[in-house]
Amino acid sequence: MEKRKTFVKDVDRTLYDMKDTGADSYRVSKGLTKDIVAEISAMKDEPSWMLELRLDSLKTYHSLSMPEWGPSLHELDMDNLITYVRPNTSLKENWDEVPGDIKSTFERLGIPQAEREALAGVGAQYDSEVVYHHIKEEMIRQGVVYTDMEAAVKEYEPMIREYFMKLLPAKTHKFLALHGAVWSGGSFVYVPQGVDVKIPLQSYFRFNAPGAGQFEHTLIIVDKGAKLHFIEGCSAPKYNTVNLHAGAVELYVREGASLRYSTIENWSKNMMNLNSKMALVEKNANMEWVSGTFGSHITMLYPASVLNGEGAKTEFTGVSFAAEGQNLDTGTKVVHAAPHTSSIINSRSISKGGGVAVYRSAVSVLPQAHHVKSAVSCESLMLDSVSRSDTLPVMDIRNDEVDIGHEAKIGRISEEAIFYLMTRGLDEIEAKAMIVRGFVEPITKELPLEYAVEMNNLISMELEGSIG
Amino acid sequence: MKNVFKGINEIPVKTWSWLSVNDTELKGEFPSWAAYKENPLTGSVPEGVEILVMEPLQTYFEKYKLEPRAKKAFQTYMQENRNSGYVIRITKGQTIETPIFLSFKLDESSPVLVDNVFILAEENSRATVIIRYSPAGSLDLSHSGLTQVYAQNGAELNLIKVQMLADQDRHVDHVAGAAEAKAKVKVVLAELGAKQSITNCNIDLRGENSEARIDSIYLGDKERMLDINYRIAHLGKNTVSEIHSRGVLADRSEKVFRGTIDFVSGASGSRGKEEEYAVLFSPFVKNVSAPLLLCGEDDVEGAHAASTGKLDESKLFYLMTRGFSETDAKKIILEASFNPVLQKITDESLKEQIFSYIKERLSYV
Repeated sequence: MEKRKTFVKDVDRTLYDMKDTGADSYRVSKGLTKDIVAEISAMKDEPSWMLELRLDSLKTYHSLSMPEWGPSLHELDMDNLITYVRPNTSLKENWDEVPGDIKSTFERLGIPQAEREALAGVGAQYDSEVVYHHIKEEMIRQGVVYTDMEAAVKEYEPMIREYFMKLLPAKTHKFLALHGAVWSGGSFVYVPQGVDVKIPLQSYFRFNAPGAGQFEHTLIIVDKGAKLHFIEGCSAPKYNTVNLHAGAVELYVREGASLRYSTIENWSKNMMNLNSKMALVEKNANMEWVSGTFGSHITMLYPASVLNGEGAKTEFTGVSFAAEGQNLDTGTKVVHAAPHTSSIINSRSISKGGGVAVYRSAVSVLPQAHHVKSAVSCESLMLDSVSRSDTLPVMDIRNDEVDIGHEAKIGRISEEAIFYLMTRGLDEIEAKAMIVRGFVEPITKELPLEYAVEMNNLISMELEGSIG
Repeated sequence: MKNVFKGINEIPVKTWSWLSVNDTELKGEFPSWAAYKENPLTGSVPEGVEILVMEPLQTYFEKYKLEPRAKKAFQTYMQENRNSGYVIRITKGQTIETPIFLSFKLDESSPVLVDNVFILAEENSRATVIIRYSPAGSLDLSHSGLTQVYAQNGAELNLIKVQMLADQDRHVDHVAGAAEAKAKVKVVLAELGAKQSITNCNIDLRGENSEARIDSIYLGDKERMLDINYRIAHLGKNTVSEIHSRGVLADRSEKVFRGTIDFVSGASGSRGKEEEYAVLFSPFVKNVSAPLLLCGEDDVEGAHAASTGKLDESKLFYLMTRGFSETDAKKIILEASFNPVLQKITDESLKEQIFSYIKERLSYV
């Protein structure tokens, strides 16, 4: 007899699928040419070095080939993609001034409410430009800078010039080269030495225009001994054309500093999410990545930590949920470049309805990095036999004073576990729900409360028969 | 022939190219064809076993259609340059207690060996086949081999391959196997020598309730390069697999290990497990591990674990408090770690040879 299976519902996207019509005031022509790149730069009234960086990146873009590994990107047609869409508003510091349709989008996503209740500052990007940026007075007094990237290029030019695309140079891969050529929007954060930003900052990226690309750039510098929690949220309505997200996140975590970077990504299922993220972690500093990937058609996302100073630490916690039509290729990269560095990687994935979840990672230990510790644990839950779940970890170790461990598990939830919980007084449905939520719990516990609640709601279930 | 030895150990699913684990190539040229003059068969052929030389190989290859994970150009090279080949057929229902032993010696008169061996275990038969590659003299020796193993319904076949070539030699070896319903294929691989050793073992669990195991040990020292690629694919329902590998790396040795458990959609009720443990003895080694778990079926249990580190210091300390010198204590621990794999070698004299070979090599450590 075939085993009955629990049906785990797709992520409810009603909220995210709302569309605005005519919210943009200007967009560049389709495709990618020198003229389009120059046009974006001129419109932003950028310094000449930035235009040069864009044009060099464009050259690099044309010289690089598509990746030979990972999901197929054949649906991506750069000649028909719009790389810049300006919303019909300028940057505001007060929600009341943001145009009604754009504001109502963010309101429905709960961003202004979250700002009032739980955040130290908020940035909201709509298509290619940031439409709202605000930071609490108290933060400003402590010297915290939180601004949109365009303003930072002008107001903090020396610092931006020193760090912009230095961790993630255009030559790294084709989509970073593309990013370098057409980047727009994003946030710049600077936390001065010793400042502890106790409540999180958040940037929310909302994509509205069909057939377009979003290429925001986030640069964060957490100075010596300072602390920050930064949250990034992403969503877009579903269209029938391919949209591309190729953002870049560069993080500098200086000596003794601590940064947590949380992302809840819920792009629509026509989105190619080819994002790049890297952190440079100095002596005794701590970098934590919390990454939830639910949306998008294809995601290729591997936040990287370069542990560059003695005693540096990193922790990656990731969860992905791949449903029909989704190929979520996620994971992380860690480079141990200094002695006494440590990394912890914890990943969970769920695949259903023909969805493909891939965990891909690289842990590299360089010859000089002695007394390194690394522990990797990944678990995958398969809910049917039309889906896929692959685990592709690589460890490259060039030193003998190391302690490296890797563990992975794949399969479905055991009937014994359900039985056990039922002997403890739970009914079957409660037991199963508890097990699935328990499966992603290592991730939810790392999220701020509102996000944890949202994630539990995303994974709602109609339970029948056994899980898996 | 130039490109024949390029791209000969491809990983089942590619990853970042900068990691250099997707594939490998043999450094330097393989010598041109020369006759292999030795007779590797030792002892008499037991009753219930038929051994055929060379010609019938092709018929068996075509009939059983095993798919080695070697690229076409390499397979063609193997076919055209084959200088030693055997078909070993274990007849239906026979249990062969004494292992069938092929000992390939490479020396001055036979410096190149390109061997093909096809082993057919007919229904409900049981046998062990041992293949050893060993050198004589100090000439550059080159070995390239393909061993195919087919276990019919209910058969149990143990294949033990031991490679003890010398420091300047080359070794490229592929094993391809398949198991029908309730059959078992167990492979023990001891990768002990050669300057560059490229090895591949791929087993398809085609029939329901079939089982496969790969147990391997490797020993890297000096400037040895080991490139390993194992895969067990679950195609039939309720199939069981295990890959278990233990190794030591010292000096400037390099190792790339790829181990894949592949659950194909439809292989419900299957279980697969993979473990790799590497012990490192030098700050100059290169140790790359890629334990892959591929899954297209929900009703399975798969697990893999890999660990890398120095010798357990508490064990070392304990043995030293019992009067062993540091070197002896290290040797004891390493031998003990190889032991679970070596215990699977049923031929006592071969086991002794391997033990003394490892001991001698560990004296460098």
